[in-house]
Amino acid sequence: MSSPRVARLVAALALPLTLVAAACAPQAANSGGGNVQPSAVSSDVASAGPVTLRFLDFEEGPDAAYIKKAIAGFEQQYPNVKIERTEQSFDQVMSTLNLRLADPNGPDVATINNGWQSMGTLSKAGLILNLDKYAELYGWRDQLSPTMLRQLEFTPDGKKMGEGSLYGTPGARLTTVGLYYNKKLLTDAGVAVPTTYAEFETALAAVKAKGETPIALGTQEKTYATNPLFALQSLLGSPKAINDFVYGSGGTTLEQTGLGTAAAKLAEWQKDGYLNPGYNGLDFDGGKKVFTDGKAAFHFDYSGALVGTGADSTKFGRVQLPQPDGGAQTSVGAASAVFGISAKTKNPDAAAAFLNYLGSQEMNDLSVQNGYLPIRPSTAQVEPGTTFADEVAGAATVTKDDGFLPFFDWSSPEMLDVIGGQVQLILAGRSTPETLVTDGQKSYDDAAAKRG
Amino acid sequence: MSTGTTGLTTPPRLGRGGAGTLVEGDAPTGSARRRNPNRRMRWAGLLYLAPALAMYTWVVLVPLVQSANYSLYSWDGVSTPTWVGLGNYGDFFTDPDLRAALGHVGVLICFFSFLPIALGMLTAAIISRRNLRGAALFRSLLFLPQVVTTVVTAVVWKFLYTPDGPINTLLRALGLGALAQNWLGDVTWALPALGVIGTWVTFGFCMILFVSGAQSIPQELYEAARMDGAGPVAEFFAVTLPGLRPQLAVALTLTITAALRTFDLVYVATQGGPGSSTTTPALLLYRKAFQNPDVGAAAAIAVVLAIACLLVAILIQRVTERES
Repeated sequence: MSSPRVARLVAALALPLTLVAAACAPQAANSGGGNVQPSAVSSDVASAGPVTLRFLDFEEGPDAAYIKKAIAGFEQQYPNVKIERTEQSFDQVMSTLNLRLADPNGPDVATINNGWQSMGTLSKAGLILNLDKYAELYGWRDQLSPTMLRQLEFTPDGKKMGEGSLYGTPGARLTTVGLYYNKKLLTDAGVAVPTTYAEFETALAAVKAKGETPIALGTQEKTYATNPLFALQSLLGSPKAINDFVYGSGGTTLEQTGLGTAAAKLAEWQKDGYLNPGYNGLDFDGGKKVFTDGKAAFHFDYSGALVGTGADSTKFGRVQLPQPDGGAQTSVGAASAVFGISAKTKNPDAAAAFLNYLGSQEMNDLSVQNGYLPIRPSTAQVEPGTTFADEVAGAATVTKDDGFLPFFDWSSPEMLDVIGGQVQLILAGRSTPETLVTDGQKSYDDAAAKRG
Repeated sequence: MSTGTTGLTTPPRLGRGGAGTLVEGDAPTGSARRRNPNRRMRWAGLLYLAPALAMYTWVVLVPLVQSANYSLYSWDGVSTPTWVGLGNYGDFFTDPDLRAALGHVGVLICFFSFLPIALGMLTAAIISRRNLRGAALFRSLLFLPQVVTTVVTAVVWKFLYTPDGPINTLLRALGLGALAQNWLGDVTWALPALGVIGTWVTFGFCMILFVSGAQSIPQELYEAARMDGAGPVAEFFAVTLPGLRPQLAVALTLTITAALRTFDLVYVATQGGPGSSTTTPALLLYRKAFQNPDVGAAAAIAVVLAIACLLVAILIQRVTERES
C-alpha cells in the first residue's frame, strides 16, 4: 500500500524539479561578454529630467559621514538627480555584488574591489561598464599617476589586469601602508627617526636594548596578518618585480618579489623578541592599541590609522622610507574605495557624473579635512607637526616618484588567505618563508591556469 | 502503553507510540466501497498541505536541485560555465585543505555533540533524582547560550580568549599562569578553544531536552529500581538512559549536523586560522562561493555536506529504532 503511494509522491515532486533544473542550468549573467559601453556619452546631466541613482557602498562609521557629504554636494549641483544610498559592510557588499549587479533592478553605482575576484570577474562578465569613453570625456586619466591608473584597468576579455580599459574610478581617498613610530620611545632609546631601512633596523635593536617592545602587531586575523609583510615587501622588494608579478605581465616569479625576504625578516624579529607579547592572540586593532597605548616603538598600518583612536597625534609620526638603494619612494597604496557603474543602469551619464564628482577637487579637499589622504593634489590646510601631516607628505613623495604598489593579494583570489595563514604559521615556528613562497606561487599558477 | 508489563528495559515511548497507532488504525482494510471516501479525504488532506508543500519546494527542494546541478560545472557565478561532470567532487580526495577541514569537523563533533550530551545527561540525572531548589533558574541560565546569536557568542568569547582577557587573568590569579595561552591565535589550542564555545552553546539545549524527557519517565520505574537495590549509577543505566533514547536521538542528530555545518563561529572568531588549523568545510564553501568565485566547487561541498547530514540523521534514527 505504501510503496506505490511513495512512488507517486516521488513522481509528483520529481517532474517539476526536473523541469526547474533544466530551466535553471547555470547561465552567464551577460552573454555579450566583457566590453559593455554606452554608444554615446554626455556630461549634460542637468537637462536629463528627474533621475534616481541607486548607490551601494561599504563606507561605515566616520567614512559614512564623508560619503553622505559627497551625496549632498552632488544633489545640490544636480537638483534633478536623487541618490538612493544602501550601506552595508565590506564583506556583505563583496559577497553579494556579483548577483546584485546581474539584477536589472540592482545598484547603478557600486563600490567594487580591485583585483581578479571582484573587478576582474565583473568586467569579464560584462556586469560593469567599460569607462573609457567617460574617462576621455572627463579627463580622468590625466588626473591620476600611472601606477594608480593601472590598478583600475582590465582587458575587456578579462584575461589581463593592469592594462586595457578603465572599469572603475578611485574616488578621492587614498590608503597607503606605512610605518608609524612613537616619538618618545625613540628619544628614550637615543635614536633619531630612521631615514633608511638600515637605520630602521638599528632603531629596532636600540629600542630592544632599552627593554622596550620594538614592534606592535596583531596577527590573530588572517587577513590583517599580511599587513606587516606587505609593508616590509614594499621596502625590501623590487617595485618592478612586484608590479610585474601582480599584474602578470611577464615571467616574474613570486620569489623575485621580495616576499620571502620580508617573511624571513618577520621570523627573525619574532625570534629576537622584537614583537609585542601575545601578538598572535590579538586582532589587528588589538595590535594597534598596543602601539597607541605607547607600549611599542613601531607599528605598520594603513594611513589614517590614528583617526578615531583618541591617540594624541603629536606623539606619533609616520615615516616614508626609501628603497634600500636610495632610489624612489615606494609604498603599497590604493584607492580606499573604487566605484564602478552597473552595465544594466538606465542612466549611465548621470552615474558617470556622480563618479566624476566623487573624484572632484571638492571631494579631495573634503578628504583632507576629514583626516584622510587625498588621491589628487589638495589645497586644503593640514596642521603641521601631526601624524596626518607626515602621511600627506609621504604620499606626496610617492605620487611624485610614481611609486604606488598594488596590494600583493590582488595577484590571485586566494592569495590573501594563503599568505595570511603562512604568516601565522611562520611566526608560530610551524612553517618557513620557503613554504610561503611555494604556496603563494602555487595559488598564483592555479588561478592563472583557470583563467586560461 | 501500560507500564506495568513492559519492565525496566523497555520504558514507554511517549509521543511517538500514540501517533503510530492512529495511522495504522486508520488504514483502510475493508471493501472497495469504504475506500472511496478515504481516498477523497486523502486528496483533501493534500490540498491543505499544498501551500506549505509549495513553499517547501520553492525554498528548499529547488535550491537543492539547483546546487546539485551547479556542482557539475566549473563556474565563477557570472560568466559562461564549463561542464566538468563529477570533477568538483574529486577535490574531496585531492585538496589537502578540504581533507584537513573534514578532520577538524571530527574534533568539533566531540565538542559540539558528545561532550554536551554527556554533560546534559549527567545534569538531567542529578536533577531528576530529587527536586533541587532553584532548578528552574539554573535551567534557564544554562539554556541562555542557545538563544544568543552565534555571532554575538563568537565576539564575546573572542574577548574572553584574548591574551590579557578574563580566562588568562583567572588562570594567573589561580596560580596557573603556565596554562595561559593565546587561545585563538595558537596553532594547537585554537580548535579546542572553538570547540569549548560549541560545548557551552549546546550543553543547555541537551540538558533541557533530557530533563523534560526524564520528567516523563514514570516515577514507579525509579521506585521499582530502588526496590531492586539499584544505586544512582545502576538506576541511571537501567531507567534514565533507556527512557531518554528518543531525546538522545534528537540531540545527536541536531548537534552532529550543527558540527558538520559550523561556519559563523569560525568565520567570526578565527577566519579558519592560525594557518588553516580551524577551517571547516562550510568555511571553504563560503570562500569558494563568494571570495574566490568557484560556484561549482562550493556547490559540490554543499551537496556532500547535505548528504552527510542526511546519512547521520538516518543512521541515528535506524540505530535508536532498532534498539527499541
